[in-house]
Amino acid sequence: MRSLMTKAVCLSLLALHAVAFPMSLVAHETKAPLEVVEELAAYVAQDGADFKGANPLYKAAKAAIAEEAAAVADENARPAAKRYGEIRSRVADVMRRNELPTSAWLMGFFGATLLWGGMAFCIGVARKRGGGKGSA
Amino acid sequence: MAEQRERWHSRTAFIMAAVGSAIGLGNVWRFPGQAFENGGGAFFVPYFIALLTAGIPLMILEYGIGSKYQGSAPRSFQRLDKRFEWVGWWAVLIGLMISFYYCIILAWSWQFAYESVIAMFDGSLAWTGAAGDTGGSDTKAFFDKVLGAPKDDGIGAFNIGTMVGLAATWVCVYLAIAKGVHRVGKVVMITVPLPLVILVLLVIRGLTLPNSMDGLSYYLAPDWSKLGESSVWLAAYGQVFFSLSVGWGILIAYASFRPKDSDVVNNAYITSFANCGFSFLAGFAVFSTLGYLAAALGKPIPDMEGITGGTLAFVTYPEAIEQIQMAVWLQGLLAVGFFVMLLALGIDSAFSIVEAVAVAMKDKFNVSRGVVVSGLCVGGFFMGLIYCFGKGAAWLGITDSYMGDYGLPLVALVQCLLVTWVMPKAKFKELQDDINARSELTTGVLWVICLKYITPAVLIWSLYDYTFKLIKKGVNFDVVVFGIMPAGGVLVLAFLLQSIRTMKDNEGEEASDA
Repeated sequence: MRSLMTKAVCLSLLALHAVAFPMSLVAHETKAPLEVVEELAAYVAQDGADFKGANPLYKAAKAAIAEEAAAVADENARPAAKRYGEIRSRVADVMRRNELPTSAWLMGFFGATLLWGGMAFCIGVARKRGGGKGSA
Repeated sequence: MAEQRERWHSRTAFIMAAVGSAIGLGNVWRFPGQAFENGGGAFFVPYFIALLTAGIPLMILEYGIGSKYQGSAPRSFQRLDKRFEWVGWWAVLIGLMISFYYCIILAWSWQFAYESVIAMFDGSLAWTGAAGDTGGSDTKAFFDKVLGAPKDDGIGAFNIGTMVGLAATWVCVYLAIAKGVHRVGKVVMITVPLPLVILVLLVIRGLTLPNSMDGLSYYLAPDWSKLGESSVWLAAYGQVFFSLSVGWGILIAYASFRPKDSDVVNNAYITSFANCGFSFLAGFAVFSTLGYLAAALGKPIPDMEGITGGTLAFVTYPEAIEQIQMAVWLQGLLAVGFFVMLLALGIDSAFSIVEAVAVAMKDKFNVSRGVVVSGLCVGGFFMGLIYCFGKGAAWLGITDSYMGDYGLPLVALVQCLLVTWVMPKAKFKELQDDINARSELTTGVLWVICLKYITPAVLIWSLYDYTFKLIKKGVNFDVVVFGIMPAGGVLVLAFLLQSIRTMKDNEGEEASDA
């Protein structure tokens, strides 16, 4: 009975992860590239920074950003390196939020299954409760 | 006639105690941050490989030694080979040094838990407005106040609140282990499931917060390019070593309370999976809440400070609680839950460390458990008072660098090398055969390869890397007093203890010969 309960706890924890993943897909707000571009442009415009990036979405954002950036007069208010770092971080954040987190959840499933599933398997293997082979 | 050894009342009690020892504060505040900094979901690949090639093999070895030789770490190593007793002493003495400051962290948790309970009745969290007009973080200001952090180069004020928390912690340790492993087996039936229940509640609360999924995306989204970086692999192996309680002598002592014919391998797998599963789940609670906090503060998670270590527990997480839009008493309740979880996680790790030392002393000097445990708890309390000064947190960091980050992997390395390279091959084979004969799962040539080559290689690499880090940090008076001297002292003391011959030593050797 106790072994069954332990297995049930393991499987419940596995289920908790399983519920978390679809929940995230429902809760996830996918932004259209245009919205992303606007968000980036607005952010960069505040700082008047130039922007470089190799990602297609970055490239798509570039034109809008350049336009907005040109409108800002005080370009050298802050050190360029710091400004660039901030923008890169902000862009990465927007990019990440724009992606569907499929790979993240696959890794989540991988982890949860291996750990909680592994534990449930080992408990299943334990043949004798209260001790190992032949023990009291 | 040899004394009858104490026994766990069931296999479950043993596994729960081992799991309780392994799961500690690091599972909540270290693992999620490590995953985030080292490739998110991609970090799980080196982490699992480290678990299978180093963590579990070492745990099997320690369980195997403990249950075959039926003694504490020093006694078991002595029975394995007379020359090796000092290795056991070295492990448990390092653990004892760690317990002095580990209990201080629990003392801070007591203080935060107490303040959170007060908040439930006062209508305001203790850290709200603590920064005043400085514009800094309220929780950081409050934590500095709890620490009594000095504003100049002095040692800071002595903190009475921390001392009270420290006393409470040592009383709990005493009550848990004074009556023997039978009592420990009952205590862990509360201290192991309780934090799991609270963690599940925190995960549910975290997942239902706005923007929680953004946080989880940072935790789980894999950055595969990181797998090419050696530092990521080192971090994975380091996390496994620190997390599983290998190298402390605790697992040897705990396994010695199991009958000689009890399972080894499957118990090691169950303990390891439970420990790592807890860490993995803790990441959901931490990063879902961080996602919410990042959105509330208007900055991306990578730009946030304090997403790992003590700062996460005592600054960032309380700050997140303060930001959650709900009644103050509910915020207080959430904070109480979080700090009670930390206390429950930490207390069974703390008493397992002290238990390993107590059993070692008992095995060597034939003194009663009550006397040894009382002495260790009172001594531990007085030693911990040093860290109650304002500069205690800085000193704690130094001791941790030398004892936890450097000393324990070194013990694990020496342990591996002695057993697989120095000890006669036939004796190692005998140990492996013994483990296999009574285990539900068996070890094979892979286990030997892991212990003989992979684990030592990774540990040497890790220690080599860490030595440079320590050198870079430099040496000053504090480093000598709180780092180098204790580290050297425990090694000298280990050899001294080996050189002392007692009646019990003779009994031990007879048992070994038999």
